[in-house]
Amino acid sequence: MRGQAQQVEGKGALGRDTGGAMGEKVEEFHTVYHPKPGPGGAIIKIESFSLWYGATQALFDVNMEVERGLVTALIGPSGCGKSTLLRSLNRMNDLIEEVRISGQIYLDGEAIYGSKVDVIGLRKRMGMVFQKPNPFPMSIADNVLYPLKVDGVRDRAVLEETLERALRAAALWEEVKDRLKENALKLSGGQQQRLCIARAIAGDPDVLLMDEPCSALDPLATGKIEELIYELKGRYTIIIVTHNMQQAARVSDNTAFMYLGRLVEYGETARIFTNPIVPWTMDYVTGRFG
Amino acid sequence: MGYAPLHRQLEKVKEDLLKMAAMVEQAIEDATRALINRDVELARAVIQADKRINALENEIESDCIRLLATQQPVAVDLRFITSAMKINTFLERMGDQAVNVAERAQELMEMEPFDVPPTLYRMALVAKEMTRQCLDAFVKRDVALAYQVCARDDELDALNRHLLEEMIHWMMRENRVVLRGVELIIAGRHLERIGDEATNISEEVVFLVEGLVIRHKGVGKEKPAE
Repeated sequence: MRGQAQQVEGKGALGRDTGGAMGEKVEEFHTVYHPKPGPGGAIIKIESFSLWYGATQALFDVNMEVERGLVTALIGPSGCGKSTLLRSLNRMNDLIEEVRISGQIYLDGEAIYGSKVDVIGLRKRMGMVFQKPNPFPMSIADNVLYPLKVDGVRDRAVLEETLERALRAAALWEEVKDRLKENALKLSGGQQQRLCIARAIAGDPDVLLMDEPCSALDPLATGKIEELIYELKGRYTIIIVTHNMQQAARVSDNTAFMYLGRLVEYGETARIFTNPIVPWTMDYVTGRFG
Repeated sequence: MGYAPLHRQLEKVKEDLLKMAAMVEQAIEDATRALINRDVELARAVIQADKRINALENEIESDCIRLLATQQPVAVDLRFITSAMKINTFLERMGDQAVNVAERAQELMEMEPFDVPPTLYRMALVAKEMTRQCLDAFVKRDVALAYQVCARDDELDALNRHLLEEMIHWMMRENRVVLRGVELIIAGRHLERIGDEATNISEEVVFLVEGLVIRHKGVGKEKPAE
């Protein structure tokens, strides 16, 4: 699968004249792969995945393997499909009408698109953190324990243990341990975001999907979330969508650059930000794009 | 607050530079000892060991470039990385100078035995000490020590001039020693260059700690008055 070349018809692979910055027309489209392998192999395999919103195609034949335990960043200009790809991983796109897909995504070898797949169970294995912190209007403790309570867990010992473990893992325990019964909406934006991460962790997922988790936060809160991502990697596979290229550079092991619904280059972050292979990637990371 | 991963990785760069400095110190000592004791094996070992110094130089450089590209360091972290990259280059050149001394030792072994002038031995000692001290200054961010190293360069230069005079006298007395005299002058010159590189490193330390450029300003020899 890796290194497979696909012929795309028309004027340039990405549907535009690709002269200009690159100074040459590219008639073929290849995704270029050089990801850093993780210690545990691939956890997610995306195979020939395409997605349409009605008549509009948003993803074009994406092939990609996400390495277990590493942080993978998805970058690219607005509308490139990075959030769509992220939401395809836990089938959040099912909630949108007129979405059609082809191809398949595997989590630990199991196909996630199929009529018999337990979508709720899938979303539990892939915790999600959104752009804006979205705590529920309830106490800090109830927020964290929400996934367990939905599952009908009543054992106090289990609940208490999970509460502390999740809040510690999200680096929030010391700040809230004396006010667990307080309404979560009283927390600062950065604390609310860490609370959402704690809630995602409480369900004991394999993968954490983060969709612009810092874009609503100030630099200090952003720094804390980035440090948290660093602490959580290894235990969890993290996939982060970000508009902030510097953030992708700082926190991730591998970076996928997407453009016009296609995966252009997927490789080791240090390489992407020092010496990317595809000229489009170079133009994007150096701010010469468009 | 800082970003922990960056700081941890800067520690690694620091440790690698220290490792490299220790290798360079050893190379200076071994090259000089090879020259004095006519030790073929030791001279060869110095030349071999330089490959490890070179490999470490490459590793440190690529680590620094990666950190610049991915971590966007600012202020003292930025100065640390740019200084580390220069110190890296200076240290590698010091290793090359030690190799040059080892090569002089190899040439001299082919010639008639003679007593190595104590001045050369003294130069090697000063060069080695300057190497250790400039890296100590870097690690401890010790500006006073950095200025001391700059000052010691004068001592090394004076020893080098002294060696040159001794060799000229020796060669004028007996012209059959000219080849050996020239080799020793060149060896002295290499040791003197090591002192220059140690001075460069010390100047980087002042820049790192105080953000102050003292290169080419004639203030390197002593700490300027406040």
